[in-house]
Amino acid sequence: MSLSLDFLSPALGEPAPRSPLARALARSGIRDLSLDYGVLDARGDLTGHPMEGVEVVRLSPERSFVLCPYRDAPGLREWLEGRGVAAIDASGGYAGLEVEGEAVMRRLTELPLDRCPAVGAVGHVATLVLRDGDRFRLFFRQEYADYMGERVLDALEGLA
Amino acid sequence: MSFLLACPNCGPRDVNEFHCQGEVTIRPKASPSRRELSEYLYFRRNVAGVQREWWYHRMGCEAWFLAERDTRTNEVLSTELPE
Amino acid sequence: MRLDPRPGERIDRSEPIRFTFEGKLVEGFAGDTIGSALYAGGRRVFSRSFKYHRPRGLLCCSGACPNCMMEVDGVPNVRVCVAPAHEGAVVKAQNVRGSLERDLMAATDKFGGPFTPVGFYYRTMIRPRAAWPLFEKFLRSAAGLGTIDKHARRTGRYDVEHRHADVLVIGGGSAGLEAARAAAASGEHVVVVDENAPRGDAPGGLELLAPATALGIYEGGLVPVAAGRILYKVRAKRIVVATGALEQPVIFPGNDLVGIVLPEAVRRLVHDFSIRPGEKAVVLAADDDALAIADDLRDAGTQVLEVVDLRNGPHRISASGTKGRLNGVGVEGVRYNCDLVVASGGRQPAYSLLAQAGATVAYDEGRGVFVPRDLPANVEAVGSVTGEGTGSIAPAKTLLGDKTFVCLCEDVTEKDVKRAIAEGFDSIELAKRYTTVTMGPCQGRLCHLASVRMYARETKQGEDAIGTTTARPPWSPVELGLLAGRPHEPGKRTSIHHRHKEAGATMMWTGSWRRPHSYGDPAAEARAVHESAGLIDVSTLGKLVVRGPEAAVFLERIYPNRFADLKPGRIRYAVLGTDGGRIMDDGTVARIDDETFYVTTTSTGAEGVIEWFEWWNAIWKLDLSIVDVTGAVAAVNLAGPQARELLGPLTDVDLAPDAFKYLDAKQGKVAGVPTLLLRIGFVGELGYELHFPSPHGETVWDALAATGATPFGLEPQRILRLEKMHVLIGQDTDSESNALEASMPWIVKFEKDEFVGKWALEHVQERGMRDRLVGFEMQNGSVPPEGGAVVRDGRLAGRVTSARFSEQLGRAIGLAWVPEELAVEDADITLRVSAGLERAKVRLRPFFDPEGERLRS
Repeated sequence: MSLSLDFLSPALGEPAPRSPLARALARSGIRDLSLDYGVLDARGDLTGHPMEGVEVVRLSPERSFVLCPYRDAPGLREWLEGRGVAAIDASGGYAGLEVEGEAVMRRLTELPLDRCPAVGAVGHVATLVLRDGDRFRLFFRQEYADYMGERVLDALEGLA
Repeated sequence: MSFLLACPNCGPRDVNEFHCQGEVTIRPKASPSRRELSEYLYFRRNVAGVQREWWYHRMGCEAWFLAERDTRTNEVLSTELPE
Repeated sequence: MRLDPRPGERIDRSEPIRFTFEGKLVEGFAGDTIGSALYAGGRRVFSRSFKYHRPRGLLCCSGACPNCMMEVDGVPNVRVCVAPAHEGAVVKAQNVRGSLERDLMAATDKFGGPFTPVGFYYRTMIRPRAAWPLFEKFLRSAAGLGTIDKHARRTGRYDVEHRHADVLVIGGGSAGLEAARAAAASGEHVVVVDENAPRGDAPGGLELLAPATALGIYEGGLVPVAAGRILYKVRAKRIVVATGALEQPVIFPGNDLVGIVLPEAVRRLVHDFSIRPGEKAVVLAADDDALAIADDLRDAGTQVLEVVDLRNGPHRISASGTKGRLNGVGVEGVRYNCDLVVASGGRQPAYSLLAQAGATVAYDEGRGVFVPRDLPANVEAVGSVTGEGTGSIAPAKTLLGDKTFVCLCEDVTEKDVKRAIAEGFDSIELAKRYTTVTMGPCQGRLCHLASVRMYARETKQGEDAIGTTTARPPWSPVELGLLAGRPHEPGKRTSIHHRHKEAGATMMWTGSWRRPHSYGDPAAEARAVHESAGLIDVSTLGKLVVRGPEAAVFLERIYPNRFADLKPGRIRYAVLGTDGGRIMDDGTVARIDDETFYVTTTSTGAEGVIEWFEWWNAIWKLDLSIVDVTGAVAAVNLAGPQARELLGPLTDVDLAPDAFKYLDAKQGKVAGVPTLLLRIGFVGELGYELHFPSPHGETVWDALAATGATPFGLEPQRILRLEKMHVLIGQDTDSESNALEASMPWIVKFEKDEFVGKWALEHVQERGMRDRLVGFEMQNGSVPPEGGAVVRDGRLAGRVTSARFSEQLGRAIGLAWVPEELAVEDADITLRVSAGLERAKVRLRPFFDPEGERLRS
């Protein structure tokens, strides 16, 4: 049997995936987005491919993050690959959470908050920041989940 | 250091978001002599003035780009993606 | 004493505030500072000086000088003249043995001795050497300001907050506010920083940070602003410095007596806190504003005995006192009995932030002050900091007397400065370091100009020739807690981390990762791998997908070994080298299909390798993409003779030895999770490295652990790999090591047209090997230290990089760099172990299972 990159796609697993933030955010009231969004790391021009229910964040002329519903990542990846866009399912690599208010973001990052989406240092960790009004969605590498969870909760505590 | 560097993809960011690879060097084309190799590997111009450098935006788009920086003032004159 | 209520006072008499000073109750009002409440209660001595322990009282009353520093709620060096009084505060005097009124250390003032002259610590207490511990003990307790509780725990929080502004105005005086308003009117976002507590609301459209101090101006328009327990990092496009000017003390004998104050102290005591500063006063001043202080004094009921305009030529001034408190001042032979002298030598622009930002500082002959010039880009100055409206007079004529203080912070007298000059410290920068003038808490605010003048006069040069010392941040002392911020460290954890903790693992740092050192018994864990099966979390391995039509070309070029001929479904060991031929990392490369490779790196090298790959391809521009999937993929190595039978029931992959061979890659499901299975053998037994999506980390781990495989940590892994003589990059190699000398010549394919490091390795081959990395086996059981010496003929000939006792082999083994001629099987080498030398035999083949039969089984 030939090999594929299926081993990158958590949505293809039968058991339920577990959120890397489950422990850090338990009982915190902070919304854990880790299992809500699938993340594709895509190389190539995405402009000619209208996709519904999908957010595209362009990092550079060659590279974009594509955010989609968690379970849709493998299918979307296939669809994109069929159109000549190289995409890797990086869903398992990212943890995500949502915070509210500029105040807490200012305690975490120097990023200019009026220029989102952006990728930059949040709590010293490379983070994709998406903004919808006063709500901020943060996606970062899952290995920092415990740290970032703790860091965000601590920042909120400092403002309380 | 706290100067700003304009990433060609992400815009101006604090220098700590980047990794500097040092001045742009010219790699020998064909098999170099020992001296040419040593010069390429170990000798740097180390100018007090404007120098072309490689930078990597490790906290952002994860792309390499070139910057012209004045080593005396840390003023970044220009940045561009490699040709 | 407190005056009747006055318009504009800052205190709120309806809200009393009570706190203690040295255990005694002090009463004040909301709006008071600790200092003003103490002063209103009759306290005049606020501190004892740094070196001579002379009594000192309020001088500037504006947070500039060191005279009122006390310990407040356990925090030393608080300037109580600006620290707001708060209910229940516990305030103590510092730098005192005994009380402020009777300080035992004041003997240093009376008797002088070895402690008096400047630079004494360079000259005295050198002999006898044996006595130094005693001297040191005394000096350590005598030196410094305040005491810190070494056992104190973090109290409260310090936070960092980021701000962006179009314009940052530093200083909220009239010039600063005017600039701020103008900028705000043109639609710019303006932040104003002011040292004083705000009166009422901030002017419309401005964001006011107050009371707060701008600590410095850094590159990129970054200004850290200390505001209580928050450090604002303000990033501004344009910075307007409106720090004003600093009143300068007048230098005359007795100028440090309690009761000699700057005009600003009177303004604040009278207008802000409604306090009569003294009963009888003399005003000595060099500008109209300061002279006008006489009116404020009269207004407060102080009798003004004389007002002297110091601009009318030099005056002979000297003050006298009892027990450190002023009782009179003599001016040109006339003595005035008074308890207050308001003395101002004029105002010096507070240019430090500008100078530190890169402005030059020049002496303005006309005004007699230093002024900023040539401001850096995007930095402006407005108001008196530019020199506008400022001026200063030369010091008063010198009278005899050795208590003429140039620097109150460090207790440096005029005599000390003269002595330093006589000793040859004739540059202001050197003199600063020798005398420590300007190095105290006031950071030169009140002493810099005076010391430069004194230098100019003594060396018969102009002030412009003497110049200024370099201005460095922080402009004001700052609590270390504020600089430290929150106590978080961005550590990485694998998706299985919590399982290790639950299993009682001892965790350790490897790079920024937390990993299990062992689960309690490294030897038993290693034994389990040899005898049955072990399980280790290797999710920390760097993992990348290199993909595209030219992926194979890329790998051929970047690695010294071959990948173009690697068949899909096969794996190859890979050593990554620099153009200098040095080893930078190692790992494995598995070919997924013609255009796709799955590359693993070391745990700590991952980020470097990814940058390295991206960098070369930024130059080569080959048609491929490099995607870091380190965090996306969890990895677990199941190893041991029973690995096959334990894994079998969990997977749909055919594990039969002839179907799934050593260095094969297969895909399938393990415990229902899509997995890439790599048959590799870092630990020397039959093993499967399972790579699968991180969110299933615990699921797969739990399933494997349930088979009875023993979890093992890094320490047992280190023993196991050493038995196989597998090299740990960074442990057994360093930045000088190349693959040839690291005994991996088979990895270097010189027949390839080109690869990174080829030329350098060709040169190594040409010149021949110098050192080699070899195995060694101790002749007795002792384990040499890692980093220990290989000794030949009594001389250092190499070093041990790894050493462990192997229970499996029943002896101590290791790896060491030795001279090439000793890199021969069975050669005798000598290693330093503790104090002695021990013999070892060189081994070139793996200690355990040299034929690799077990990992191929």
